[in-house]
Amino acid sequence: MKKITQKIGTVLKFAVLLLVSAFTAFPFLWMVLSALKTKAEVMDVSSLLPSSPQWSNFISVIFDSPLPGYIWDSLLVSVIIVALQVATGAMIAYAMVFLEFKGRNLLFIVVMGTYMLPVAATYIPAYIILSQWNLLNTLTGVVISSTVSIFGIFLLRQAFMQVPKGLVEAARMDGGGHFRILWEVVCPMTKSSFITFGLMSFISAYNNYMWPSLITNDSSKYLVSQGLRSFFIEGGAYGTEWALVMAGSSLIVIPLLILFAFTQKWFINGIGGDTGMKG
Amino acid sequence: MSNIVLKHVYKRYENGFEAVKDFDLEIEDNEFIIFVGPSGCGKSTTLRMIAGLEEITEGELLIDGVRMNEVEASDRDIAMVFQNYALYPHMSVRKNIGYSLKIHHEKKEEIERKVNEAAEILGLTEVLDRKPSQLSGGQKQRVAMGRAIVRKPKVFLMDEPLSNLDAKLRGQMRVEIARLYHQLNTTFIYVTHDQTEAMTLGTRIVVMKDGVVQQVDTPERLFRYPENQFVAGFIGTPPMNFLSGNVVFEDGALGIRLGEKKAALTVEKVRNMQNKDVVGKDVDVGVRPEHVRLCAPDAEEACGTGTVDVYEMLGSEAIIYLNQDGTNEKLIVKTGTEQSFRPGDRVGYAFSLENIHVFDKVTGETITN
Repeated sequence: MKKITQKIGTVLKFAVLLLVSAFTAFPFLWMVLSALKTKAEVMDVSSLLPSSPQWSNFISVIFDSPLPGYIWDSLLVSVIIVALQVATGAMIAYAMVFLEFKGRNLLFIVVMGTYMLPVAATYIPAYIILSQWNLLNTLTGVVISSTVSIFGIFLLRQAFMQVPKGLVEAARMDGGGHFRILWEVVCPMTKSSFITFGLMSFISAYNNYMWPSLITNDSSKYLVSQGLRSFFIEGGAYGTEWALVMAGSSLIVIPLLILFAFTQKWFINGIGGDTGMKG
Repeated sequence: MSNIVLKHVYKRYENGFEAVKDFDLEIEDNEFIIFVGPSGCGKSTTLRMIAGLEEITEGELLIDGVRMNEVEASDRDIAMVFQNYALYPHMSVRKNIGYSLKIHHEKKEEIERKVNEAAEILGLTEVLDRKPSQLSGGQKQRVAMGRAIVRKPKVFLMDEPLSNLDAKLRGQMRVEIARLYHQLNTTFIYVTHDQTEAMTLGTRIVVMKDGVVQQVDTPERLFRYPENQFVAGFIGTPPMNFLSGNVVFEDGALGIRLGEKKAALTVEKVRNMQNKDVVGKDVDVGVRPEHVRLCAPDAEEACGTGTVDVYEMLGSEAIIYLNQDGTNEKLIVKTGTEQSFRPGDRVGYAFSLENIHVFDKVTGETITN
């Protein structure tokens, strides 16, 4: 009897997980399948699969649209933003955790206060600053306005707090300066947090739509989300060619999927290794 | 050569708490100095101030005559072994030991040579390519020491380095540290709350309590001539017994009255008391457990009587805890194991006056040294 109850429990568990997974994966699956359909088939809900895969949709997006250029620009901008956010976030988090200075708690409160501010509230001051620096309608402006991530500071601070202070002190006694200690001692011990943050920061920069739309209006400065919208949807060259929109969207997701594939093992890793310290 | 001077050093925290008060000490080259005292006495804080990990609120720290108060920890040429080893978990033993040399831009071959040399001394050659997580407690401890010795620093600081090891390993490592000290021929400053470590390793011991230095002396002198009741009670296992008494001057001689009994003091003790106004003073008389002998309750020599509360047989010796008659205060006796006792046995006890220490009941200071 107990065995049967256990089995039913397992089956139910799998059923629930399968259902949730199906709900989560369906939009993605639908996008990829629609990318292989004709324009008429996309609107026809009677069949999920295309009658014959339209690979030409992808060829058309790659060779006849500016989307690959947008993807390249977005990748470049995102990589620079990630590098800057990781560097600034790590330095601020290190100072907040390992350095003793007056107003340290106040700094943390200010940082957290900023985190609670709605993003939209920062648009106008950021816009004015960029305009004064003549950085409107430039990718540099997009990068500079994303130099610091409050979420990153918070995430790294929490991770750094798990590093025994004695290790940092030992590195200081070994002759290490703060930068060296940060990159050679603290960073390797909190690698998973760095990778998690890097990935989240990359996705957010890569997918960002609202802010780049506000500060860039030249199509040559578009990032991928803006480009997709303006070229394929907003009465662009293709009108609303849904099959092409789906093919474009599928292509856009590829860099993110590759990134996930390389970094997924780090998400499940906590802080690694044995310091011999109790924390 | 490294001479360390702490001049009237204070450590005061923002909330006003004084962890170290007026710490004044000169450490000569090649000394093995021990800071010992109960938890919270300021010994680790003082060590960390020397290391540069803690700011000095007031006073001066000089190393080889140079003021170090504002010098960064990394620039003091001091190595430190931490209580919890503080090994870098992502680096192999080889890299852990060689890390400081890498920071100081030494050549690769030189780092390799020095790391191998340190590993040889500490018996770590076999585990050089392992990560800290693959080491035993003793090996981790050795790696932490290797990291310190590879630099050949002016001073070694050790903050309770053996406290995480089991009793057997602690004994072994204590011997290794003593050997290392003789091999390296440099200054060691060692923090511990374990008086066995303090007594066996140190050339001089600094006893601290509540941030204040109580006495600085050689292990032997600390044991024989404690300057106050705290030191007398802290050094020695089991701790010294204290009996209430008062100083009397009768029949032309200074003596001590303990309850009903009165005895004349030895010439040496009287000589030390001569310049002090002691007659009639209430005192605590300290007697070490090994100087108390048991006798029959009605024996002539008995200073007092009591009942056995606990009898601990330790093999070659036994510790007996007595409840004294009248006061019911505890008295500890260390004795041989020829005769065994049971709780409830009535015994008498005696001690000779040449082995006692007399402390002012109010100030706790000795009046017989």
